[in-house]
Amino acid sequence: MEPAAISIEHFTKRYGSREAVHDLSVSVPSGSIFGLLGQNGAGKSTTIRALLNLLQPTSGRLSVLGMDCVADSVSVRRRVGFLPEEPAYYPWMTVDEIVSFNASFYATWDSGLAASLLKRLELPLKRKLRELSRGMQAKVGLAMALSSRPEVLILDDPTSGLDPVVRREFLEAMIANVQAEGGTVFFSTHLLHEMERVADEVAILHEGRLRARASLERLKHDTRKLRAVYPERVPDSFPVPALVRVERNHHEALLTVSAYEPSIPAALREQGAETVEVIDLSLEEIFVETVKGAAS
Amino acid sequence: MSAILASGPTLALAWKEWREQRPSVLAGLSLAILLPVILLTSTASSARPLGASGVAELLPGIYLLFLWPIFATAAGAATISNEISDGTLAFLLSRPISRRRVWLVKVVIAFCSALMVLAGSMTVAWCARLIAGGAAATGAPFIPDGLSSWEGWTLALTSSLLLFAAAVFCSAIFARAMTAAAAALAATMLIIAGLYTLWASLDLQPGLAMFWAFLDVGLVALLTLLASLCLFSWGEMLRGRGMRRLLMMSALAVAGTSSVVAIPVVQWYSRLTPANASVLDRILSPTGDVVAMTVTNLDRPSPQIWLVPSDGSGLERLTGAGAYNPGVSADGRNIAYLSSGGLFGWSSSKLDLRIVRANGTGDRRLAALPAGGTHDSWSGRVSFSPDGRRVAALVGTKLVIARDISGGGGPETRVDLVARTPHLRFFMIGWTQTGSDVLIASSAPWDNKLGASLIAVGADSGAQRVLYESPDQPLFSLGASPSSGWKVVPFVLHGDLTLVDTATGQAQVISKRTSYFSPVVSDDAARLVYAVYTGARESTESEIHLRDMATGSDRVLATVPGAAQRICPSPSWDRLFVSRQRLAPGDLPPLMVGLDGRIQELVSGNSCLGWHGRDHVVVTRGHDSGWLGLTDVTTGETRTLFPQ
Repeated sequence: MEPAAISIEHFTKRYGSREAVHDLSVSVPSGSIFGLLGQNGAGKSTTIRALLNLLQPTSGRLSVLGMDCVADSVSVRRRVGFLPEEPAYYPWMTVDEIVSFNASFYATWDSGLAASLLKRLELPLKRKLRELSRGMQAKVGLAMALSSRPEVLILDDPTSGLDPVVRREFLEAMIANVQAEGGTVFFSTHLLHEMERVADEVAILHEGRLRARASLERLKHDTRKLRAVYPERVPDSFPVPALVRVERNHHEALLTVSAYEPSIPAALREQGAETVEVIDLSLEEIFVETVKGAAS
Repeated sequence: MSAILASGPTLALAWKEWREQRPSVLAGLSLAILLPVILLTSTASSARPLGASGVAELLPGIYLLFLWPIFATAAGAATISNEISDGTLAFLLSRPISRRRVWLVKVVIAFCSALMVLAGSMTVAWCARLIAGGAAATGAPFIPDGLSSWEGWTLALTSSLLLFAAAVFCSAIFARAMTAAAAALAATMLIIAGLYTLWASLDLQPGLAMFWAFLDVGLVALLTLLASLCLFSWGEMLRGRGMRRLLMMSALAVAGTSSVVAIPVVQWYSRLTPANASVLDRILSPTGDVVAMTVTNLDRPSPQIWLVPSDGSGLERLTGAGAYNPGVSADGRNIAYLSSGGLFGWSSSKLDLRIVRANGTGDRRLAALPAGGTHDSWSGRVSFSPDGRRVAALVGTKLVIARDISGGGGPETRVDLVARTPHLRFFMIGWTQTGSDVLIASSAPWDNKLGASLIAVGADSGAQRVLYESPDQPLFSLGASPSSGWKVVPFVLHGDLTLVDTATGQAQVISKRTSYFSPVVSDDAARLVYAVYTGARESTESEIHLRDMATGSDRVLATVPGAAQRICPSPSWDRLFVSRQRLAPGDLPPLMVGLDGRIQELVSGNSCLGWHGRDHVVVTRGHDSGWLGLTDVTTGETRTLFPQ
């Protein structure tokens, strides 16, 4: 079995009394595109920063390509490309200077690839970074993240704030480049339709805790909503495993389950339901149901 | 630039840091260049224009004490905080480079930038001095009075280093460089105040404490830099800090504090105390208020000067190590001394004539004494002129007269005394009453028949003239120096008591008896007292004589048993404190002899150092060289002044 590109085991991070991430365990297979979903403050950025040793875990262990993220942090960063949510570069540097400065850190730097990316993204080499728009700066970050030919690309909500056209172009270019060389992409976003398009696997974080983790197909298969209509009052409990959320409305109950099985509708009918309707959910709906279910 | 960026992360990072520090360095250098121009032009039309030499004199102090600390703080504060505030730190720390290397490059470049400002500004100061014709003093006028040039430099450099270190440390905590700089300034002031309080409370010698305090400040600076490295390496400048890191920081702080405290505590344990001090010499101030002593620990010889107030109010450690042979001004406010103290109080090959106020402030160098003197054995003598404005120091054959002690680096007169024969030695007697000459006696050991002479050396001209000379009689003793200077010197040769007028050089032999001791001339030179020994050796008696200098009448006040060792007239010359000794073993108690011939016996074994007020005499014991006491002549009671 191929070793995991990223392995997170029982990762917990506390800031004083506040727990940002609680006992997170996730394994990302090599060559996959792994999406981390969550609201703002769910712990996505904390997890990514811990992978890069920008902050250290309170407990647990994180490793990338088999290397410990704390003990071997320099080696880890040598083989990882990283694009933060809001990249901040030295505003007095020109595009050419920041790219050259960044290149000095990587032995694997591909100058030809950098030049072609800069040209393809139409970046003005002699312009200072302070004179570039946010979208242009994001493109500079993309060129730098890809030109070191990383084995793992870590993206912290990199397209937030970009307009839809740039966002789509950006994401596709990035993922195509890494995937072409068998690399792994670990990215977080709160834009669910983006993730739905590209991710092989997703994990949903809510308030620092892992609420769901599966391949996209499996998640969509397992997470369903059932509408059950009862002739009289809705019962207090339901013979349904992995019940995520229940909504009651007079004679009707809306049940969200995270481990759907074909036998569930029959079990509800046996309980007294007149009709049972199974509803497929989009990733966005799954996310919302999961978050609301966790909240209730 | 491309070549630098291609040569690896360290050089690339250094290039980036230099580009970020460059505006600050250029601003500092521009200010350093503009400052003399601004000073010249802004004061040109004033009533007291500074002029080129004035500006050249001011510049080193301004640069050292203002410009460099400011730019050292700015450079330190800019190392990390700017990157926190603009978010670039996350970009930098997510590159494959260790935090230690990032920190090191940042701090080295920041420190070099601050050094550039220092070097550039000092070059400007040096050029200004050249332009001013080299007339400006080398010292920095803003440096506190009492600090020599290198001490001022050390003070400024260590304080600036601490400022820089504190700024680097604060820059890892605060996201704004200005906040970091302000916090660094406040922290530095607190640290220095804390260290000052610590050192002051330990009652160490001020000079020695100052040397080690500099080292202490430097050590705190290095520890602060180390703490900054730990914070940067293990901390999370981005968000918060973990408890483990906090504990490590606390451990570092405890270790650092222990190290810092260790220096003064070690100093405190190894300090010279009254219990282990040996007194080498002591003089009572002309006012009678304080005794200045040279003390040392014979196990680790390095003399210091201590003051013991005659009122018994306690001991004051006046100087650091290497100071000896104090001389007290007529008003008792200033003390001049010789110093061979070097760095950290260690012995130095240099010998200086220094002055310090009696309250311990304003310690500064008056003159450098010629190398090759005989100061290894702490010989030499220092004497103030009667008006207190000049100080003479004699070491071996070298006489140096500092002619204006109100400011540093005043005019000096240097004289090399030449002996008639190699066996003759020189002794400084003191000053003439007019303050125009320094009186030097030249004599061989008393049993050597090489004669003796009394020489007056012009304080301004350095011209030597022989006032009196005996071809075959050695100098036997001299009287105590009058606080108003010598008008008449009682020159006791073996067999003669001769009075020499210091103005005219006229000599008058007034007695040709065998042995004379303790001649004392009153300040107005109207009276002379002296003792003459009579009787056989085992039953020696002393005649106490009083001579009216105007009429020449001489009368015996009293004949007392034993050999009169020292006569101390009271300030009003109505009583004489006479200490005496049997020539056969055994002390005799001192006597109080009135001018009417009445005799009062006091406490046994005490010898007079001088009077304190009307009714008290500061006394010593012949067999206990360290002991000092105060005798109340009305009651006869004596209490101990030192050691207490």
